Amino acid sequence: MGIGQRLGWPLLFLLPAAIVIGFFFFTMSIMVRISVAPNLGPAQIGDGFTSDNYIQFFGSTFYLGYLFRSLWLAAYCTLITAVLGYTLAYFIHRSGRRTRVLVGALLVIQFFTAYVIRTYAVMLVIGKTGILNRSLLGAGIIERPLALLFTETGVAIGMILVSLPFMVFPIVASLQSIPPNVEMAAASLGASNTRIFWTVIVPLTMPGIAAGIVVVYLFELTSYIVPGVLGGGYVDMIANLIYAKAMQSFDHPFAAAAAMVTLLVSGLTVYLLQKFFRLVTPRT
Amino acid sequence: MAVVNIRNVSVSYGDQQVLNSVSLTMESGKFIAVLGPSGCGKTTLLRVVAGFSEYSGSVEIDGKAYDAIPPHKRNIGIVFQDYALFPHRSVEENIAFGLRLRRISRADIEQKVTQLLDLLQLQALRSRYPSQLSGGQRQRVAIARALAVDPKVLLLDEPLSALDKKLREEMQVELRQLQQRVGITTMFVTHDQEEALALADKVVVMNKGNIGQVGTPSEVYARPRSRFVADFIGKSNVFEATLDKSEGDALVCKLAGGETVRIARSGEVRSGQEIHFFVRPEQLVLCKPESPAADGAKLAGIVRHVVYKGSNESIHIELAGSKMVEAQVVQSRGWNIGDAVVVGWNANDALILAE
Ligand SMILES: Nc1ncnc2c1ncn2[C@@H]1O[C@H](COP(=O)(O)OP(=O)(O)O)[C@@H](O)[C@H]1O
Ligand SMILES: [Mg+2]
Repeated sequence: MGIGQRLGWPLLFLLPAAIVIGFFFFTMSIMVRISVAPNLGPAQIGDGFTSDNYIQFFGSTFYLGYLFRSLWLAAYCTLITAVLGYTLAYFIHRSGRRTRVLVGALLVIQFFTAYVIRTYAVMLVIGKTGILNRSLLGAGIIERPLALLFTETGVAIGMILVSLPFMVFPIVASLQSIPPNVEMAAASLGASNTRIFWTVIVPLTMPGIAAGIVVVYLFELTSYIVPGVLGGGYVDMIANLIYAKAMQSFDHPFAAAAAMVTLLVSGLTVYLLQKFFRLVTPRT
Repeated sequence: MAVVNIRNVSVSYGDQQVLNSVSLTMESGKFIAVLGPSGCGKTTLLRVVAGFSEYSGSVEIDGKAYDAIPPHKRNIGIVFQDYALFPHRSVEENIAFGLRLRRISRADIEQKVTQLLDLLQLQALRSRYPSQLSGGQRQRVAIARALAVDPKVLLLDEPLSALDKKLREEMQVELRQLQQRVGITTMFVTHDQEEALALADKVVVMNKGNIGQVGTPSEVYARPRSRFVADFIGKSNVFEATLDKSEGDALVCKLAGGETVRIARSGEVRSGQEIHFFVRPEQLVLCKPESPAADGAKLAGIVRHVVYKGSNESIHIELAGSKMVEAQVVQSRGWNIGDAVVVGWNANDALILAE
């Protein structure tokens, strides 16, 4: 009774988390179940067990294409996001207080603006008569407007811009945690700025880079709105396929199987990324 | 070994003048302590020498101007106040960092690192990481790392301030011995006057971006030129007085309350001149009112406060005009609060402050 009373209150605080996690596993288990159920026509899920849905997915280059395109697109976009994000984070870290607050505020506002609105904003930038094309034309760099909207490049630009804050914030945090005199110490020992960057700054910000890359990769891999809006149906990714199967063809078992595959591939990727970063993050 | 010449160096941040035309020579192989209160510009001076701060004026090492040389080409060792070890490198790798940037063979690096580990008694810690070291150990690593590249000059920014008193005193001795063994020209920055006096060949007292006085520890202690130096190095009782006449080796002058006192004679002085002089607490002589006093002064006072310090005692005395003085006595005669006392000094212990 004593222990029960002592533990009672803290346990109560854990209840909301337990409900959320419980609900997640509950819905996941339903999805697992549906993914092995036979499809008996639109919106009709059979009772038995079958591996047809998975066979259908893996047996078709058409469906697999969505997965591989998404993996590839997310991979190179994450890489570009990482380079841009690091540059921006480094700039923020290096600049004076005023610039730092200003750029930080812009990123935070961007971050908290509804996802769909941000995506439409990107559309205004990269559209045929968008800001980008108009300024490039105006500057005489191009003669005809670039076709970016409804192309993979457009989707990539959108994904990178929308996921940039996820990359910048953890890197800025890890840059801020570098002891201030460490760079000067390296210089006094003979290290040039480039040397300091690669041997001191980058290794010490590896945890931030790792966090940014994992989050951004997952975010971009499962993008739905960005390819939907900026790809206009021409650059669909795996989430768009799942949505179309579930909500247009009402083939819930196949959609569930595709979602399961995506989930497992994501999990595996995160696992491999973590392993990789554990290897390249120096111990301290 | 190197001679460093700092000439008319000024630094300002915005409209705040942090260093004000500072000039200083560091002789080859000497240990120089830069002493001053927090915020007086000590760290800034180190940064100037190391090349991390924009400045006007010039820094010369062995006759060569260093002003256009970037920090990473100056070959000047720095030990920072927070040590600034590389958290992602082991003790060994920290020490080898500078060596690896030079064209030195693996074997030579290994040998040099081992030599420094021995010198600073870090052998047992060679593969530890900075987070696994105590403050004193980190400091040793920082010193070893700075010395590894055979710098021309070693700069130490309050390296002992983070250590507790006992360790600090041990490290002072070690640091001094190490510096003498290596024979490197060293600038040591501190706000602790005892530390400066204990360690240095030469003490530079700084105040608000200016150099107040330069001299050997005994010079700046015994002959401070200004009230600031007198107060900052050790404690002192400063008096205002008007000069009357000279009498043999002493000067006779009058305090504000009209008492006649005698002080040591020095330089050119005129009758009627307003002066400041000071007497160290340990040079004040306390007597009972009826007993014979010292030759310099005979000032009546009342004991207001007694601080027991183990080997000695501080007696705080109120003189006429509520002036407080502090006397340090070795063997207490059992002064109690409220006792009437006569404060005196030997005339040659009371020295005029030039500024
Ligand atoms: N980067 C800086 N920007 C503005 N002011 C600074 C900067 N660095 C130091 N200061 C100012 O310069 C003065 C001297 O600083 P510092 O050299 O660090 O003093 P110390 O080391 O003697 O404590 C201080 O008033 C400090 O506020
Ligand atoms: Mg300082």
